[in-house]
Amino acid sequence: MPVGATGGELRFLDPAVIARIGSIELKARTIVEGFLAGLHRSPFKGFSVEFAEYRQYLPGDDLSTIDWKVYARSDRHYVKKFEEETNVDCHVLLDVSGSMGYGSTGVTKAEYGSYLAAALAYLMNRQRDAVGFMAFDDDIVTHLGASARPGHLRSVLLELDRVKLGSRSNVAKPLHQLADALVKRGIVVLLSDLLDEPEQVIQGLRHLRFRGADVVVFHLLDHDELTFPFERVTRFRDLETADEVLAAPLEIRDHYLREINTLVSRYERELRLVGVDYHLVDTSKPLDFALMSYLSTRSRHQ
Amino acid sequence: MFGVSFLVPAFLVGLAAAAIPIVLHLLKRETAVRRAFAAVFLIKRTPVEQAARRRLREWLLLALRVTALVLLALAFARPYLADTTAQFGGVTVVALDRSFSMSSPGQFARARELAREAVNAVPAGHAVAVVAFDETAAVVAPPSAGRPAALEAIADVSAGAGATRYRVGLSRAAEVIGTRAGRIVIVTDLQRSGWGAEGQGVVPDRIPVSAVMVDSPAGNLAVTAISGGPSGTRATVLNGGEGTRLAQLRLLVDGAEVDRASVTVPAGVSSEVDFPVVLPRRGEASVVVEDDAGYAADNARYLLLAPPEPMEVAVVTASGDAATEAFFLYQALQVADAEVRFAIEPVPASRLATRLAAPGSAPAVVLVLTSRGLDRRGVAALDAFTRVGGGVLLVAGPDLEPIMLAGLGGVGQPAPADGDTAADRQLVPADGRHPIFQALGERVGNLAQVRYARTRAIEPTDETRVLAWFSDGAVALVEQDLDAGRLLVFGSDLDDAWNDFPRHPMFVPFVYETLRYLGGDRRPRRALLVGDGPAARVEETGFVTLADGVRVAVNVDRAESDPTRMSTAEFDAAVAQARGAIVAATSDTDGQQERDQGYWRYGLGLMALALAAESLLGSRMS
Repeated sequence: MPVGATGGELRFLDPAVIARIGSIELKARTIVEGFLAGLHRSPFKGFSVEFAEYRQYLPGDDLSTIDWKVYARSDRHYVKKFEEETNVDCHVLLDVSGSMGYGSTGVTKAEYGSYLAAALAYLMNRQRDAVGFMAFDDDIVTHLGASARPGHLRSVLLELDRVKLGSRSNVAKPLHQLADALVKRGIVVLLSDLLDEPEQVIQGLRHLRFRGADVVVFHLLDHDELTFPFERVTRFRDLETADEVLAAPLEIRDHYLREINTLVSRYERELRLVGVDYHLVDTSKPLDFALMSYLSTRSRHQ
Repeated sequence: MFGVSFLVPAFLVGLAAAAIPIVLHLLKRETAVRRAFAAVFLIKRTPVEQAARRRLREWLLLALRVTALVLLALAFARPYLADTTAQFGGVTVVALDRSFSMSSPGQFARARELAREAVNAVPAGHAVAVVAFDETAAVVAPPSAGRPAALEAIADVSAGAGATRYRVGLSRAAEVIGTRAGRIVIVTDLQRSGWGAEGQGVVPDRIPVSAVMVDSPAGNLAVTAISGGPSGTRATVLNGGEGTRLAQLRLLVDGAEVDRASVTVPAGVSSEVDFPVVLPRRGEASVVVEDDAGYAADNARYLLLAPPEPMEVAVVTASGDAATEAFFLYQALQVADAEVRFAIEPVPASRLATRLAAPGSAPAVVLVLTSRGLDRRGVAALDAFTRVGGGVLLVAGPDLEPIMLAGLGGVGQPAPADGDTAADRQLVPADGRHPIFQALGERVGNLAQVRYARTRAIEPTDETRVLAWFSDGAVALVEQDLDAGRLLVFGSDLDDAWNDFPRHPMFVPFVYETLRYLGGDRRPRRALLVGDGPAARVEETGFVTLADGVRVAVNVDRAESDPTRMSTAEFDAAVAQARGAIVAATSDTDGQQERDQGYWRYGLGLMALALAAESLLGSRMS
């Protein structure tokens, strides 16, 4: 939750609310505008745009943006306008494997990931970064190269809107392919539930880091997957393999929670070691946290 | 033989309730929901046993719940062990007399034959049991629908050396029948002596008893007694037959024949035979009569020769010189006859405590004539000696301080220092049936000839029994039981000081019987009858060494040697009299029945256990 954001603005960061908005482009804009609106009221100053021009002060502008030196020379109030310093290639990788189709709060992990990807793409485009997009399951489903052209954002959003859930996941494969294809240092954002072999996933991300990319991992997990709130005896069917397991949740809850926590802890520990920003995201929570994490990484990239 | 049946089988309908948990269990199983899930591989990593164990627990829970309901239904149905032979309509018990009056040549074979016929005559639908009896009864073939077991059991029974006790046999047979319908067929020689007064056997009215008579031998000679005397040996021969018999007898000592004699014995009477042989003090003597036609077990009578063990009597006087200080008592004890002798041990009063505390054999009786020199330890030792089974006679004569009477079990109060010399008194037994006076027989009246010039005043208490009074109403002789021992207090002296008792003929018998009574018959028994025994029953006649190493002579019950029989009508009349005590047996049967029907308690107990286990298991699963 952004510091200083109001409830009305936060409403547009709630995944359930976003899901009800029509087009993916509108969703992305809503998310980003809502996020930035909250951000303007915060003391956070670090997002990476640079001075572009002066504009005469208008009532409502942030007083901190007034250039007092210009005022001293001209006796007029001018505010500083910033723009990007350099263009960065940003690649958004969205996992669309079957396991991403799980959602307990009306929004699946894949939908949450697509909202987040759209918002990130929108934000990147707004900052005039080059945006690339890749959707994958056990192979690459969609791949758009990074571009800062004005119409490219629309292409990315269209692909996001069009993407379908695939079958089994293989996170490492697209990571290695992307790492091999990288020609310029940039930012790679991975949106996945990482329900795969951790060792292979970490190897793929380590490959990206080796190629000089800043990597941000959003580990998307549903609230149910994090808390395992089931009580009745349940026959669990795997979304990817269709395997079924009959289990008494009350009996296995502790063990399951130990397993999921072990998995998360391992990702967190080992990805930190290789310099990857790892963020566990509960898909029932608002999207601003993910955007904030991205901006933080983006600022370090300058 | 036994099966489970129910008093209230209607409650077995409750068994259907066992279906409730089963149905619930099955319904619950069907409610497992299906759910798509992403992290199934994490669930798979959970131990497989979890689900399997839960399933097992569920089945265990189900089993416990079903068990509890079943047990509850069974408990209400009141299960009991029912004799499956009841379905045959009744039990016929063949009671076979195996006493030695059935042992004449060919007699028991005939008895077996009649018993087999009785078994084979049992109507179809009846179970058959066989009881063999003499002084005891044993079920040799329990109730069974099949006949072979009963026939085999009959073949295995043989006549012993025991005596006939119809009550015992009939009672055991009635127990076998129990509450069921049934009848008793008794195969016996109808010996009259079998209906002795002893025995607690009963036959319920509803159980008919029919007797199958086995012929008795034409005659029987039996040696019924043997005794040794200073001039020879005397044996008694009984002719149980109907004609006069010439009895040929042999006297054996330590297994060797030492003499022969013959005597003509009229029918139905006993004759004595004297052997001019003086038996040795130690050894084994027996008299055997030749009798091929009668019972073998009573053809010999056995006598163990052993001198009697003297009874140890400690005579407590002031200095320990009993021959002087207790002259008359000492002399009286010296003249006791040969059968019971006393080993006199003079003990100074001052050393009584030491003597009684000394290891080894304690005296049987302590005769206290004085309290001079008797200290507190001596009184305490005397008290302890009495309480562990010793006998004490306090002679409250002139040498006994009155305080002594209060020191031993609180008998009496301190008496006046001097007796009343106002008049001569006589001793009058309070109860002539007391062993001391009973042993004196008709001579007990002679005690009144003694004149008691002085006496001690003795105050009887609730714990004492007055055995004799003085003619002036004072207590002459009191008795008190002190735990295992016995204390007598004589209210005058026994040394010719306060009375002239020692100079009367009754003095020696009185002292003799009093000490015998106090000491008890501690000598080991030298003779037993078949069926007796201090620990285990002896079953064979002759000389037997018991388990404790004691050698005894074992003889048959002489009453059994008389083959006089009853008529069937007399037997039936005797059976009718035996039915009188049915109440006691019925209560036993009721008690047994209650025990047999008490299994519902176990059912409820098990149900409680099942519920407790269910609660425990259920709480662990929740």
